[in-house]
Amino acid sequence: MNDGDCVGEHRVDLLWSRLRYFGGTTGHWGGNCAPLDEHDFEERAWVPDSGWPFPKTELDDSYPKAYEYCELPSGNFSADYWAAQSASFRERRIALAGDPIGEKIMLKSPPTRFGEVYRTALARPGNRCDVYLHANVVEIETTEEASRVTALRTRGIDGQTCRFRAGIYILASGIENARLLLLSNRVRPRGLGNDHDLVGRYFMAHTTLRTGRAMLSLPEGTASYYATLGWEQRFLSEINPFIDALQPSRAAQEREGILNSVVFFEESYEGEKTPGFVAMRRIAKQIVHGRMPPNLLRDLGIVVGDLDEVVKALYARSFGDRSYKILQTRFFCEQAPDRDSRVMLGDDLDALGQRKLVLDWRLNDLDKRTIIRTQKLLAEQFGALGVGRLQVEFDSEADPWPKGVDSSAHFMGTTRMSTDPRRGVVDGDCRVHGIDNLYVAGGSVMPTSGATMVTVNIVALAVRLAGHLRSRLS
Amino acid sequence: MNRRELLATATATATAAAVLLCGSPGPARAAALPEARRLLALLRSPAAARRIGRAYLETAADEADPAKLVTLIVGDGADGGTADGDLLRHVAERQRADFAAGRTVKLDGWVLSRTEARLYALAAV
Repeated sequence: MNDGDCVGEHRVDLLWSRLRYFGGTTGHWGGNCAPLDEHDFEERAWVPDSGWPFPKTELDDSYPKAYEYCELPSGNFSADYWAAQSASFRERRIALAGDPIGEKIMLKSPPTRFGEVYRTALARPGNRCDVYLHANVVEIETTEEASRVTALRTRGIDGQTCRFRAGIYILASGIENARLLLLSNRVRPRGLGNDHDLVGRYFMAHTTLRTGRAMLSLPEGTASYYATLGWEQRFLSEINPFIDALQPSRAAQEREGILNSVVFFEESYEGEKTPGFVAMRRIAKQIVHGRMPPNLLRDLGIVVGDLDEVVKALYARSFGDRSYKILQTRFFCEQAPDRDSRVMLGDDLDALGQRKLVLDWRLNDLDKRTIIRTQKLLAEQFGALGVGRLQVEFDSEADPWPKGVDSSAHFMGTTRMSTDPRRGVVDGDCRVHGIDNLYVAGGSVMPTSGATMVTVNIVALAVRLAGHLRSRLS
Repeated sequence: MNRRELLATATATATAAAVLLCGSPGPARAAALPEARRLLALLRSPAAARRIGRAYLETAADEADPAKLVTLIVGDGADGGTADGDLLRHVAERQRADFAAGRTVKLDGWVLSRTEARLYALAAV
């Protein structure tokens, strides 16, 4: 039911990246957390369709509760604070000037698997929440003028249908929110909340690209503070409670006319970007996910044809041979809001007889420029500080996107927020424009994506929505 | 140019100097100039520097002259009486200033300061 088609140049794995069970996609969340930046909420002249209906200060009250729900070790995101806590980090911290490149601390959640951690509380006798599993919503039913929701119709895999009625309804399932609004077209042929053809549009992810490498003259172990968790680190008993990502300052973003972004370092080995090694990773990934690799024979051929490089890289990684070690730069960027980047309904039907999603994920020139200019800023900053040198591979906006552009499985937009119904599906309170009792929670309401991990921000938005509903109901 | 060549040639040190003391003198043409000889002595691996320098000169053929390169590398801030340690600091400072001002050049993707690229070019002329 989560599967769908991808059309266009950039693809995501809709099936693997989403989990349809209690607790949802937190079931394979990486656990990194940081709030959005203040300027993520601003209307930025150089970022078309940017700006939220409210400033960050309005979400600030909701973050502490969100940090608690995500089981963060602290609510402090200051690099100076963490330097004071950790002598090791103090010794290894890159002395950045702040402008053009500064720091963005991301704290690590265990990560919290919401379905496991909060199940007990929801199951406790006397709890006022009733949880229904395997009740897939297939239609939102409304009054004839579509001004109020009257019921949610559900269907199980066994074909059994039910109707759920409530005073207020909240959709909270990522880009499935848009799909459900589009599928609910009995009263409004274009779907609910879609009078201005906005439902499904402005799909965003975090444009993620491993490109280029760094040669740094820094103490051993520095990279561990600037890297997202690699698979081998997952087996370590002690890991750093935070990541110090490198981030172009707001002023630099404005000067360069670029989106928000952060940069991580990842330790890698020479040979790991060769076609053979990449093909081997592709095969392994599919097998780990319990699927038959779709192009197994072709990929095996590539591995065999590149066997010497594959073996060399495997040897270097297995034995940690430092002479082959390299630091790869990983760019993680806000995506430019783009009306033509969208989810739609396809013609194929899922197991419930519902039209599947079709995703047309589009990246534009601003997305390209952001990576290219960010790596230039980083190279210049490292050179100016005497920290080291950067080698870039992707350095012209005229070039096509390199292979390996990834979404980080962070799917946002498609029911974006705006006070203006012609520019957004939901209003500043996350209520669907024109429908009195239908709300949307989750990353689908975000007008811009920022350059941070999504989950804790989704939780903060949910806390804020809960506050709004509490006051509305009282 | 691969990582090892660049490492051998210009690894930035913790104290920020991207060129390192000691090594052998460069080729005869540049070595004929005393100031060039002192600059070439800053290089740790002249052979690797020559390779990078040749790549730079392909993009800046008009700079293939030792005297011109010396002037461009040293600028107005150092003269023949400058001690070697001061010369190293002076060149490193000019490199940092290049980066800060965006005066960079890309050689095989490596983003280098103009000053360091010229220093390698000096080894190649």
